[in-house]
Order: sequence, then C-alpha cells, then structure tokens
Amino acid sequence: MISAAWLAVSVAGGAARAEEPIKIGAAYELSGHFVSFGAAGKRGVELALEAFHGKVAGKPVEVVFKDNRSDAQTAASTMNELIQDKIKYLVGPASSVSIAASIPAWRQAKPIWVASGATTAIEEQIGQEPNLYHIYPYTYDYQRATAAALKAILPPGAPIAVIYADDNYGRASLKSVQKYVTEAGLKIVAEELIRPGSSDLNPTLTKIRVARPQALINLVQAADLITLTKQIQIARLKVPYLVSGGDVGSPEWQQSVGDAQEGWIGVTPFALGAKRIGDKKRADIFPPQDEWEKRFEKKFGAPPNWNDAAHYTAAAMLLLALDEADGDNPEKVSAALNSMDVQTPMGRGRFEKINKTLHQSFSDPLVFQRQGGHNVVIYPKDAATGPAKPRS
Amino acid sequence: MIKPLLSWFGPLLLAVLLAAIASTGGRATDWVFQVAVIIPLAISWNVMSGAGLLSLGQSAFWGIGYFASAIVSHASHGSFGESLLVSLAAGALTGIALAILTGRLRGVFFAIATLALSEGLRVVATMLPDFTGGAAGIYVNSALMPAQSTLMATAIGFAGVSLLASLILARSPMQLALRAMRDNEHASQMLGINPLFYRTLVAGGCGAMAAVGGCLAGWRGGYVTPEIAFDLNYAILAQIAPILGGIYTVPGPILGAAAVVVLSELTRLLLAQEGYGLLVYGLVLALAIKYMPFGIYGSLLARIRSKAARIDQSHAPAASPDWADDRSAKSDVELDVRGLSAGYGEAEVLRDVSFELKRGEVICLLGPNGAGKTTLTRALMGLLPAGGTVTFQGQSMLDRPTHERVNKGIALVPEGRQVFPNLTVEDNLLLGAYAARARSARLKKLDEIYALFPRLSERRAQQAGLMSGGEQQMLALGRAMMSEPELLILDEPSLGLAPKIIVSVFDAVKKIADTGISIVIVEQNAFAGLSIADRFYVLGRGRIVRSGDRSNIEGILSDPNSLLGISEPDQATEKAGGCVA
Amino acid sequence: MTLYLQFLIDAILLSGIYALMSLGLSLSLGVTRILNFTHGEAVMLAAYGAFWPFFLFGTDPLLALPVIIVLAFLAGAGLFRFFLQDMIKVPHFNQILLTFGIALVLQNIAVILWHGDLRSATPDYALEAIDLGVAFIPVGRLIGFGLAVVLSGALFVWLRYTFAGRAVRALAEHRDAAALMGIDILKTYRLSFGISTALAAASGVILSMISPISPFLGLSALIKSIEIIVLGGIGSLVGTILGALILGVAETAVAYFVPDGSGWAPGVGFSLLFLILILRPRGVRGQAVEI
Repeated sequence: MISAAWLAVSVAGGAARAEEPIKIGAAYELSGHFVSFGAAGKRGVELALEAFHGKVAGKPVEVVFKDNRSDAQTAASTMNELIQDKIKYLVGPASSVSIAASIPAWRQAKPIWVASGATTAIEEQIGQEPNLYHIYPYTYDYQRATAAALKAILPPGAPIAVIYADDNYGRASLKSVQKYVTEAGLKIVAEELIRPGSSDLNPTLTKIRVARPQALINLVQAADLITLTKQIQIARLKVPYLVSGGDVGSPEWQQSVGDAQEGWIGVTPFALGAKRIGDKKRADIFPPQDEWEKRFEKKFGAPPNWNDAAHYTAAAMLLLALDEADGDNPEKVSAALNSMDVQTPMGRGRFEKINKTLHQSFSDPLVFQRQGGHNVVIYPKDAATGPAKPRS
Repeated sequence: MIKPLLSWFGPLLLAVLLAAIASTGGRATDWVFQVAVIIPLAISWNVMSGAGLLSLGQSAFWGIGYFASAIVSHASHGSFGESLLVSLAAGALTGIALAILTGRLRGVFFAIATLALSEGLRVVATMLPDFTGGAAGIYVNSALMPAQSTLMATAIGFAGVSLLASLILARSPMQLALRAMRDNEHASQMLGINPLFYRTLVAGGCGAMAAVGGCLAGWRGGYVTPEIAFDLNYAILAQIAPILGGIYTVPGPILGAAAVVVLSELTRLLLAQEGYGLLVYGLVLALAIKYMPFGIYGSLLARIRSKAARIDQSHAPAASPDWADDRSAKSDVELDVRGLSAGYGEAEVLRDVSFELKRGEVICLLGPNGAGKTTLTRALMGLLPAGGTVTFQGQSMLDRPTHERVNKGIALVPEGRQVFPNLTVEDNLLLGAYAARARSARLKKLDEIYALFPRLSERRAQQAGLMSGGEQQMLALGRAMMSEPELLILDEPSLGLAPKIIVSVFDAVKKIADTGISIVIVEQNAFAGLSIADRFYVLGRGRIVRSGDRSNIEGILSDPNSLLGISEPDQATEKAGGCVA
Repeated sequence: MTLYLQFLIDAILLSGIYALMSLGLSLSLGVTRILNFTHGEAVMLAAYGAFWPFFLFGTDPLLALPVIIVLAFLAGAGLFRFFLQDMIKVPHFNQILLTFGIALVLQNIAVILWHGDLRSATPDYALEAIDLGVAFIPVGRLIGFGLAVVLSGALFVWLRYTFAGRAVRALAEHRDAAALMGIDILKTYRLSFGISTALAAASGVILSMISPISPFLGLSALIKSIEIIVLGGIGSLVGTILGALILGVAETAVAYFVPDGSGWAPGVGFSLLFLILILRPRGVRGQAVEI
C-alpha cells in the first residue's frame, strides 16, 4: 500500500518536474509613493506574458510578483527573497530608489536582470556586470536630449532655470543638467530645490520668476510633478518653455493637471502616437506601434505610457531570450540577450557597451511637446513631427 | 542558585541560541540578524527609560551608525571594524551632547528633544550630499564588505555584549542611582546624586550601543539614504521591543526583540499590504501600555512576587463604639467625620481621625507642621482618596467627586490661597459661583462679597497673582463664599501673613460665622485659630489627640504651653467632650 | 521687491494656518497636561474627511467643514473618555506612549484604506490667485487664513466670556482650585479635548484645500504643532499664536533667502525647538510649567 502510494507520488513528482515552470522575479512598487510606476510595470509584464501565451519554448512561465511598497528597505528585502528562492531571471523594480536599494542584495547571486530605470546607480555600481541588461536611457541621456532640444529652440546664452526634487532622481539628474546645458551653450541662472511631498512651492516659484528664465527644467516626478504643475499655473509663471521628463507623456499627469499641460515639454523613449515600425521576425511580440498601442488599450482600457512600454519591452525581451535559449538555461539566455536585435515600441532593441554599461539598449529618447492634447515630437530632427511653440 | 548562574551565562546562551537558529539557513538567517541588531537598540532604549529618559528618537543614534557604515567604507576606505568603532564613538558623542544640551529638560520635553534630534539629523543628512550622498544615497563599499558569516557573527556577538552590559549595570550600585532619578529627579538630587553626570553617562553609552546596531544593519543593507537610516520605524521598534518584553527588566528587550521580529514577519506573510506592519505595532504598543505595562517578563515577575504594602482601606480602624450614638441623625450635626484615613501612596498621614461639627459652630483643628492638616482638608473635599466615613447633613460624602461636594454646600479656602493668578479678581470671584447652586444669584452675591471686602472691590480688574498675601486671602475667602456654602473649611488662613492682616482676616471669618455658616478652621497658629472658635481639636500623629471647648480655650490662650506635652487621651475624657490640661 | 512682498504674504498666510493647527494642542496640553500624540492624526483624518466627499460627489470642503468639526469634537471627547480618563494619574511616560500607539494605529488604518500616495483635491476657486501685479495671493491660502482667524477668535471669545470657557482656563491654571469651584474636572477635560480635536480638524480641512494630502501628513502636523507650542510657551494660547508666527516667518524666510532653502525649511523648526528648549524651555510666553 505504502509503496504504491510512494511510487504514485514520485511519478507525479517526476511529471510535475517536467512541467516545472520557469520563474521570473518581478518586484514592483505596487503600493506607496511610486505606485503609478509599479502598476505600469505589472501591466507591461502581464501583457508580455500574454503575447507569449504564458509559455516559452513549450514550458510554462510563472512570474513571481512582489510589492516593494516604494520603500527602499522593502525593495532590498524583496530582492533578497527572490534570490533566496533561487530565481534566476529578474525584471523590475521601476523607481530609482528601489533599484538602488536592490543592488547590494542582487550581488549575492547576480541573477540575470533586465533592468529598466533611469538611475545612474546601476551604471556606477553594477554596469560592468555581465548579467545586468539595462534597457532604458540613463538620466544623463534624458538631460542630453533635453539640452540638445533646447539648444535648437533658444538663442545661445539663453537663461535656463532648474527645479529639482530633493530625492534620488532629482539630485542625480541635476548633475547631468548642469553638464549638458552648459555644454549646449546655455546659461543656468537658477537652481531651486523642492522637497518631495511638499506643498509650499511659492518661495521656489517666486525665486524662479525673479530670475526670468526662457526655459524651466523640472527634475520632479509623479505626484510631485502634478503639484508643481498646478502651482506653476496658479502662480502664473511666465516662462516660455516648461520641461520635464517622461511624466509629461503619462495619462495620469495629463488628466490631473488638465489645461495646465499645454506647452509642456517631455522626454521619453516611448511617445504615444509615434510611428515605430515593429519587428519583422517577431511581429507577434513586437508589432508596429499603433497595433501595440491598440493591444494595450484593449487589455487595460487606457492608452499606454512610457513606463508601460519600457516594462513590456523588458519582459518581452527576456521572454524572447528564454524562448530562444530553449528554456531554463542561464548561459544560453545570456547569449540570446547578447545577440538580440529587435525593433520594439521603444525603438531598436540591441545591447551594446555604452559608456560604463556592458549591456545597454535604448539610450536615445525623444523630446516632445504637448500641443492641443497631443504629443508633437520636436527632437531629434529626423523623428520630429512639428515645431516647438512657446507658451503664451 | 540557578538564577544568578543563568543570568551571567545569559549572554553566552543567547549567542549560542542565535547562532544555532541562523545556521539553519534561508530566511532564518535574516530573522536572526534582525533580532541580533534590534537587541542593542532595544536595550539602549530600555536603559535610558530606566534612568527616566524617555526617548522617542532612538533612531537618531541608529541612523548615525547606519551612515557610518557607508561613509567610513566609502570616503576613507575604512574597514568593517573601523566603521564599527567610528559608529561607537559617534553614537557616544551624540548621546553625550544630547544629555548636556538637554540638562534641564524632563519628561515630555526630553522626549520631544530626542524626536527633534532624529528628524533634524535626517534633514541635515539630506542637505549635505557631498558628505552623506544626500537623497540619492550612498553605497557601502562592496570591496570592503565582510563575509556574511563574519557580519552575522559580529551581530550576534554584539547582541551578547549588549546583554552583558545591561546585566552588569543592573547589578551595579549605579542602578540604584538611576532608579532614583527615574522616580524623582529632584529628590534624587537631594540624595547627592548628580543627574547630569548620570544622564550623560547613560545617554552616551546607550547612544553608542544603538549606533553600532545601526552600523551592522547598514552593512547588511548595503545602501544608505537619510530616509532609510533615520527611519522613525526604528524609534518605534526601539520602544515596542522592551515594552512588550518587559520594560526596565534585563531579559525584556531580548524577548521583545524576538517577539517584534516574529510579529513583523507574520504581518508580512498574512497581511502583505503596506501599513499593516505599523498598524500592528501601534496596536501592540497601545494595548501593552494599557493592559500589560510591565510586558511579558514583567507580568511574570509580578505574579511571582508579593504585592507591596498599600493603605488597606478595609483595615481602617472601625468607628469606636463610643461614637455609636447616632449623632449624625441629630439635625444639628453638620459634619460628622469618623475614622478618616488618608495619605500619599504608601505614606499614611491620617490614621483615624474623628470629630464632629454642629450647625452654626466654628471649630478649630490645631496641629503642627506635618500633622496632616492639609491632608485632612483635601480628603474632606475629595482631592485625595480617603477611608472611613464623612457625613455632611446626613449624606455620605466620601464616594462623591469634588464638584458634587461643592454643589452640596461645602467650600474650601485652600492652603496657600490657590487663586487663579492670571485671572482678574472679578473672574476669580465669578468662578467661585460656578457651582450650579450659586450660579443664578452670582451677580447679587458678588455685590455682597464686595461689600464684605471693600479692598477686593477696588482691585476687581487686577490680576490676582499680583496681589499681596493678605489680599489674596481675602480673595480666596470671597471666592469660597461665592458658592453659597453651608460649611466653610479654611486651611491655614494665617499662613505667611502679618499679624495685623491675620486679625482682619479672622474678623471677616467671624462676620461670616455670624451669618450662621458652619466653619472648620485648620490652623497651626493657635492664637488665631482659637480666637473665634467655639471648640477645638488637636491633631497629632494622624489622630485627634485632644479636644476642648471655650472653657479650655481661655485657659490655653493665657498659657499656650498647656497645649504641649499632649498624650494619648483616654476614652472617658474624650467622651466627656472636654479635657483637663 | 517682488521677492519681499511675496515672502511677507506667504509668511503671514502660513502662520495663520499653523496657528489654527497648533491651538488645539496647546489647549489640550495646557489643560490636561497630557501631550496628545493623536493630534496630528486628527488633522489628517479631517483632511481625508474633506477630500472624499469632494472627490466622490464634488462637495465643497467648506461645506463639509462644520460637519467635520462636530464629528471631531465628539471623537476627541470620546478618545479622552475611553482611553485617557483612567490614565490621568499614570506616569507621563505611559500617557505619551499610549497616545503615540493610538496615533500609529490611526495613521496606518488610513494607509491601508487609502494608500500612501498623495491625493489632491482642490476646488477650483482655491486654485485661483489674486494678482497684485508685483505679487499674488493664492485664494486657497487666503480662505484658510480667514478661517483660522475666525475660529481662533471664536475660541478666545469662548474662553473669556462663557462659564465653560472660564472653567477651562481655571482648570489649566490650577487643577485643585478649579475642583474646589465645583467644576467637574473630568467633564471639563473631555470638553477641552473635544475642542482641541475640533480645531485640529478644521486645520485639516483647510490643508486638504491647499495641498496634496497623504496619511503621513499627521506626523508632520504633530511635530510642527509641538514645535509651535514649545516656542510660544505651554499654557499660553497667545504664546501659541506667537510661536506660529515665529515658525511661519522663519520657515518662509529660509525658503526664500537661503540657497536650497526649501530643503532646509523643515530643519528650521527643529533648530528653533532645540534652541528654545536649551535657552528658555518655558517658551516665549509660557509659565514655568513642569510636566
């Protein structure tokens, strides 16, 4: 009796082993300050999984979602847990601070990590690690594009003001802004700090007003950017060009600020409505952009933002590599990633050594402006769909 | 025999236990590490509290240590060991600075200062990115990272060392000094204890301890920002662990640290959403304070030990049978006090006080300092708990709160006047008529009082605190009269007043007595008290030791020495209501 | 010129709102001698109380204000009755920790229900600004300031001229003497707590109109209130108003005139607090009260 049962169990176990899913770790900010980023991450991963019908190379895929609560320490412990559970493939988190906090824990086992996120911490700390694949422009890429775009619009020596949030993102971006804006021949006349979560922005805005800049660069994200945008509106700040990052392209920001969005300039690797062509070989995974946008909208009821696109691309490239590597084989997966060359909603997906990062892809974002409720790409010239207009 | 032996081996046992659990690997390693670093944090809070220093910002020291891990390894390429030493020193210095700067602060003020310290350090750390990396954060130098096992061993070892330190402290003579400080810093000074010295010592040592715990945690985490390092969560953990485990005890923080880690893991597993963790902490803290203030260990101890002696009301001396005749039933007895006992905590001041007052009478209770005069008046008014019986106009008073007694018609002119210093004379008087019985007729009564005390009328808009002693006494008297009392109690009305003023005060009291109000005067000054009294009692050693009436008063006034050399009266003379000098 | 005028406007408007926020704590501390750590959570919960009707039904926060004030009063009196009344004679230590624990619970119930991210619910008129050409006055803050003045004024009048108000003042000055006046001490404690919570709630509603709110706003409101009453002096309501003015002006000044000032602004409160605690613990106008 007992031996028959034992036999049955071991046979069942053996069968289960053959069907044992490939696990991918996905820690995201599913609550807390950066929940908008994390939710986008989850959406991107889910859509990618759907595109693969839940299987790669015939084997089922299980995504282990974890909520790092937008909190650095929780991020570190979720990375810890994923590693202790011997998960070999990772995507996420989405926010700079969570990524930064996860790095030391990642070092323990160094699983393959397709990381998106603008933080320079990745580059400085682990950029040269072979298992790290970075699929996002770094913050300095953003600022380089911004500076170049502004240089094309403004006369040399034009005064520029900067507002930066006193957090990971703001401080890191500030350095790049200082570098590239000065290199572009423009003059920084004001640098003002705001505290994340603060509501009292009048002092900052008044100081900006007094400096009379031609453009104001806002190194502020998420809810803080919404507050800032509204307060700029109330203060009737008369600056011709208002610039920020990817949030300008996100429906959340646009809905929250309403009319105040007119004329804002954003930087993004993914612009809604741009005409990316999609991949010829794997059009099922990477269709032309408008079709991909439709797919997204059909599943989630709203158009995608740049975060959705980034996390979709990360997950899709990882899954593609797993597919090509014939399953759970880290070495082959690495090889597949190294040689991958696909057209994605974010542009050409190919890992090369750029600056200090061994495997970097997507480092050329687009600069666009909100005009009449639409994105008008203003830089680079070959992707531009219209001229930039100053605010009245 | 076993207990002391266990105690001294405690640290060793702890270390072995922790190491054993850690070696099972996986999540257990994480948990053991957490427990190991929370232990010094909890002990540091516990010791500080034991000395009367409530810290709401223990995260200040922790954060300093946390930062030390990254700054030392990064900036000066210091080793793991060096960073530990730096955090020890930095924590100690911060604690010492805190103690010196807040030398005059007690209780809530000190607690607020610690909170300000932690938050302030966080802001400073954020605003000095060149030194601390600011909000972007800095990393521990991974090249100098010690092996995981080394880190774990150090953490466990330090937990053991912290335990040892608290054990040594608990058994040392210094513990008594700290205990005294905690109970009453003023009083401890009178014993020759220098609070500043001990505060500095304690804060410095505890600061160092918490900082090293933070440093270890920093090395484990690997990434430091001001938000992470000075997270107020640590301040909360620092409190919950010892409170839950057993505040002021040695094993308390250890038990508490383990409980807290178990609690947080359970919460994370079962209630994974953001906010549940702190919710649980908050509940635990509130419930523990309310229902189990001595924690797990403390409750165990309390059960084992016998309770301390307290004033046991049931053992209050029964009313002497000689008082059995039903005086309170007689319509002319205004106030009947039998077997009154009262005191402060464990100190019994009044043991068995019995006297009576007839309607319209003026009686005087005499007694030297410390006899319990003020205790008596406060007990009569309900400002302190008392045993025995007090009957006013046939109604029992002791189970009623103060404001009800006032509403029944008893008023007290308290010792030291106790006027409301920042309110005007008129405001003070009007407040006297707050009681419902007096409220409607207050304006009329006010005029009466002004007629009785013309001086008050002159000064009606003046702040009461600025008046002279005599004027304040008038005011206190007038204020008491505003409540339309039927029984007026005066506590040392002559205190601190010049003889001429005393005379005018007692003249006023006489006028009041003439209107038919029953009066009890409690006095040290026999001349003054007896000048208008119909009868008197003498209070001594918590009891009435003598009584007399007008016939005795004449004799005493002419020869005050006859009041001296009092001895325990015998029942017969008491019953007679008179006493031979 | 623009800078200075705008600074002045911002400083004064801010001080008014700070005053309203901290008056309640000053009252409850001065009367009951218990430092009510749930004060900040009252501000936070009231802010959400104004936010949700606005968000769901478009109800103007100013309409919700009276309802919220009454509810807050009942909540404050109830809190005292059920949690603190039998803890009066207990060491301060325990009182502090109890209210601290309750505050944690309230804060995290909010986090669980409504999540930690910021919400913004400003009615349209609050987004306007009166343009003076050389400076501007944000309407939302102006309304908040006006409300603060009205409510503070009402409090002072009540304390000065009503029997219940006088009883509260008497109790704050001298507990035993107040008892001797026939004042029901416990009832007056409850009343004070109720009023203090109501005032805190009013400031919470105002905050919801002018800035994004999150469940963590309670902690910063509490710390600011503590700073203000320590600055102004415990036991003195006028002192609290002065303290609010000092803090409001100092913070705004730092934000305007110190480089990176907005980052240092929260540090201003702590520095002032430390300075006052060291140099003159009783504050600008407080009695030398020992707690």
